[in-house]
Amino acid sequence: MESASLIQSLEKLLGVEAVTSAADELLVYECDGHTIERALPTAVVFPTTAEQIAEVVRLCHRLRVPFLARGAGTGLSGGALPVEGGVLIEMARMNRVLEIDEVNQVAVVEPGLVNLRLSQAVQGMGLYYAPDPSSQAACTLGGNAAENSGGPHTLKYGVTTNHVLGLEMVLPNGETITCGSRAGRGPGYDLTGLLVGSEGTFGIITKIIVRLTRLPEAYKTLAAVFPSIDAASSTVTEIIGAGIIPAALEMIDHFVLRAVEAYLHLGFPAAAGAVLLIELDGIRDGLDELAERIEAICRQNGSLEVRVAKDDAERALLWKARKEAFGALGRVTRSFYTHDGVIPRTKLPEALRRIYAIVEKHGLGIANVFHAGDGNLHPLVLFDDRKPGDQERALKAGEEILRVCVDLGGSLSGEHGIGLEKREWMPWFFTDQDLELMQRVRSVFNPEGLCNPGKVFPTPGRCVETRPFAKAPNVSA
Amino acid sequence: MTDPTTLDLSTLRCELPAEAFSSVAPTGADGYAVDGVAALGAVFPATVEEVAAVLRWANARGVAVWPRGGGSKLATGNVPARPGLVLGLERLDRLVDHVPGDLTATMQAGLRLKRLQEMLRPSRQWLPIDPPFVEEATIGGIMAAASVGSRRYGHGGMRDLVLGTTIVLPDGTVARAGGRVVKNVTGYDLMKLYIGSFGTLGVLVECTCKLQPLPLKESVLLLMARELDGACEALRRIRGSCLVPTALDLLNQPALSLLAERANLEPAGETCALLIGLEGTQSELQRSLDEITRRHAGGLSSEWIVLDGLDTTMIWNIIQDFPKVLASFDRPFFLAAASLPVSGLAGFLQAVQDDLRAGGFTPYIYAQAGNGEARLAAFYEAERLEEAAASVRRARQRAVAQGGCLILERAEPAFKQHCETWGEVGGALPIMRALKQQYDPNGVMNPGRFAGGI
Repeated sequence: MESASLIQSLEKLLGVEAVTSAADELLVYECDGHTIERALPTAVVFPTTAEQIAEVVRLCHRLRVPFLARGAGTGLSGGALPVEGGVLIEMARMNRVLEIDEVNQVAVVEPGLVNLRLSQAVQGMGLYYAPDPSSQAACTLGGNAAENSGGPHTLKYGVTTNHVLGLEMVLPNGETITCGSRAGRGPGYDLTGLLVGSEGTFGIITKIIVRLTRLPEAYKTLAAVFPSIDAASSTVTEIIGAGIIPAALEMIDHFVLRAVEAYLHLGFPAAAGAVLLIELDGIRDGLDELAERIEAICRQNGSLEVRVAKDDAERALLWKARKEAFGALGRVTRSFYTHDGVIPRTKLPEALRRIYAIVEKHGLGIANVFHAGDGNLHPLVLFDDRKPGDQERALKAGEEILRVCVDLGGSLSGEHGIGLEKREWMPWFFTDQDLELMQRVRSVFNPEGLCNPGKVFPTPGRCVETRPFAKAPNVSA
Repeated sequence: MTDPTTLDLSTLRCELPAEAFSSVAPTGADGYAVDGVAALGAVFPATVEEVAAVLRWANARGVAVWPRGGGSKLATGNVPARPGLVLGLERLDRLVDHVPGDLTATMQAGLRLKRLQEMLRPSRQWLPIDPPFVEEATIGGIMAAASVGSRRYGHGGMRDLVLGTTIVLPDGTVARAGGRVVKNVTGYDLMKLYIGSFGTLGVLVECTCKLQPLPLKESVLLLMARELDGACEALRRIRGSCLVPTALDLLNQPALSLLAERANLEPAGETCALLIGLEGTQSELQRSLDEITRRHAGGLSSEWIVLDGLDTTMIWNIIQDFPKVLASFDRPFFLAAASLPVSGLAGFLQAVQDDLRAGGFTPYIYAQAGNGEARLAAFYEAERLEEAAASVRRARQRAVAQGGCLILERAEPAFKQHCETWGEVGGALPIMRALKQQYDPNGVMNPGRFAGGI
């Protein structure tokens, strides 16, 4: 089908103002947060209703044109990378809170709603939406559901799938299905659980029923400074071993700390090898007791300083250091490549030692800021995109790092998804039989493969152009 | 389709060691019948390879396979479409791996939950679930039935705890999904598809779960209320407060009497009760107890009982074994599980209770009310089976009208002729059937027992 007539058909369906096809405007959509690969769609459409989405999908289905949904494009694995010549369904205008059901602690939302907006909308009722990716001020709930996103507080509260009760989805043939409900389970297979994390390859999510969580009465946020990352790692193991599951347990290494320090001036000692950001929450009573136990564990492991946030402002500042770490790094490195491997928590010291060795071998820098409590690493390989060969070395180092994660009993991704980025490495983790079964499940929803093709599974040959990294993006999980 | 009278197990005998044909469970040969449909035989493989061999054998011949763990939940489901070969998992009962520092454990499907908890206890950890059937429930059965208990309110269910699974497909293929780490988005979350699939897709043989540290301290607060209404109102207040109980159960008067009798408690008069599970530090527990009894219990009778330590285990065990308590009376009864939004619970329970009473039945209601889950049971005389079934159908209509559903968890086969087990699946049924077709094209896995006739 010629692109001109496809564009015309889309304009007829949605109106001219809801279709973008000018080459310069399409450039905005040529990649998501995974900037290494790019492709240009024929058109980007901006539907405002589920029915419009179904119409676009029916058109694409009839014309055999590939299509996919895109939220805010903050994904880091290329899950929302367009298909050359296809249609990109941008969810920005599907951003309404459809219903807040305070008594049942449930919200019904459209997929383009920004994660943080939901928490803001229900804050007055003493509620919030628990999954909090670091990109939560930009990323959308539809994207979160597609990727099964995490965030720092997943240690205690779980990831997106633990908070999605039901979905409405337009299947790749244009039919709409609903699954789940605010009552939780229904008879039959748990399709909601299957659809969350399917990376947009089963259909287009058009409505989401999410669980809301009661805001804790109190927080206790500690920043513990350690001379080495090893000491911080053993502390993580000991806190968990003591039977305490904090709401968050985050590690910031010395490189990130220096970058953060340069703009937030937190006054951490220069000798700091790593900082653990530890947050407890719940009812006020008992928090001090737990905080004291954690402080004692930190001291036993040689902490140089344990700072307890005195008030909300100080808590916010400590979290700013964590959540804006990627942004801070943008000031001290030309480019970086973020990974998302997971390892069993007890393998943390070994994994980090091996990761440092890999990066050193390639003559690159490394920064680590990650969800230590979950064993979810975010090693950032630092490089200079102007230096010949640097990017290739960074990619190679990233690949070797993930190999270490898998070899240590971990996995390729904790929360960013497989997308395009990691699809070729899926066979490290799964057998051919495992992957074949998953593809058979996909074929139930997406038999012709028109919906978000080329993602998740290894494919022979690539149809996208590889380009140098852009300057480091600001947000990440 | 296999004629049970002519099924020849001898070819299967060639493929498996002799031990696989003798059950370790003290169940007689006819003890494997499901809903009055006799089993073709029973086989107890000891390895994943043996499970695959059984499935390949059955799949090639179109022989129905009935996976079986502890045998406690076989009453849930439509009457089997045809006789099947019991595939017992009791010999696949190993704790494969437990890494205390990672708070994860990998185990085989036939491992009993009770045994698992005993093995985890020295590390002061547990799998934080308390589903029905304390003695019998196996990990595989709990997953297959998506079986949940009271403390799902605070800890989630298997759905929230399973990190990875290994399944054997009818053609003998062994396929894994997920992994062994606590956070993982590598590949599709097929674990969710298997949890609650009632053995219709394949045989779950292994899983990895997240664990929790054992609670520092535990209490159960039994708060009496004169009426369901008042109890539900208190429940709403607790749920809307900053307190974080791990269980919020509700029992009506007959259920409370049963509990009280079994637990040697003496609740006052004609009451129902909230059963509130609390876990945490001493000061956390004290604060919760004070606040609930002083602030949230307004309007209820002033009676409450606080149980600590081993008494909490006893109380939860009785709740978990409620189906067995009911069965011990040796009278026909039904047990149904309704799920609905919490806001609709009070009205629903009152209406269902009134309806059953009007029919001359004594309604036993015990609800994981904090999650909007309610179990309803009643005994009936054989000649009043149809009336009892009609009241369950009406209860289902009420649940559905509130946006919920009702599943018949236990009833005799004759009852199921008058009240279907699952209720309407809705518009996603074709997708579910297509999934079943991908996994089990020959339709050998637990045929006919699941929702929508799957």
